Amino acid sequence: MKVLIVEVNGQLYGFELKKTRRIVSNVKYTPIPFVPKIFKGLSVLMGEVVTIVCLNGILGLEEFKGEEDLFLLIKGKESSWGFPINNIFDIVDIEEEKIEKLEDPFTIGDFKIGEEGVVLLIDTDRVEDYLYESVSSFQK
Amino acid sequence: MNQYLLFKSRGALHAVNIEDVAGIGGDIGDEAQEVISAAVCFYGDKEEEKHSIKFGTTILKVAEVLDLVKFDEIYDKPAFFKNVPINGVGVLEDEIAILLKLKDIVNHCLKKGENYEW
Repeated sequence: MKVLIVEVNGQLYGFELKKTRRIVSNVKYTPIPFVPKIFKGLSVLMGEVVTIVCLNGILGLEEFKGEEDLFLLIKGKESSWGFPINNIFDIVDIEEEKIEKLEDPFTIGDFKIGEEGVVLLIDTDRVEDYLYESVSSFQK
Repeated sequence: MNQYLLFKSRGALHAVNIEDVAGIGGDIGDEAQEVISAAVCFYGDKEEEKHSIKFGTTILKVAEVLDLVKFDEIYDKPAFFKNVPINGVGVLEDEIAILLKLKDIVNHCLKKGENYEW
């Protein structure tokens, strides 16, 4: 499995490369009313409306630190969504048996990479489902 | 192409179809004067829906009314926001405005209660 590794707040996160769309810089977005705070806003990129979210908010971690210069865009089921990242770390080819399963609902598991540490492999489908669920529960 | 009234609220650009706008007012309410410099009045449906609808109109508090515009492009909202009272986004040069769905906003505010401010 090819995995794109990025850094957010000092933690390495992996994303299946086939689920990613692209990395973009200088994204201007407009906040959306009536939605939970994990939704940062809407942007129009490459002729498509892209939903910008807060990955850390979804994962229940502290807010993103640093300048919002880089954004990783994920291919969604119906439209793309993305979030700010601090750095692009690497693209690796990881064997699935090296991924250790975790109980966390938003991760497929984790794997070690060299001396650098542990990469949390994010389940983008689950994150996307959570985004849908969070809007509908917020509306009730 | 439709004309939209562009305004700023909560630090973000929003717009509504001008055909839905009943008028634009000044400060509303003493306690709100520090944060509100303008109000956009929308046509509401029912006079008896008290609190936010009075005399057939709804008042939406906004920070600043900016302009009457025609957007270069209008896009539908992403599927995440199926039940959120917005229509989509309008692009004007390099600015993006959230297009508000007025009737749904009225219902949303009524559902949330009299003190709800979006």
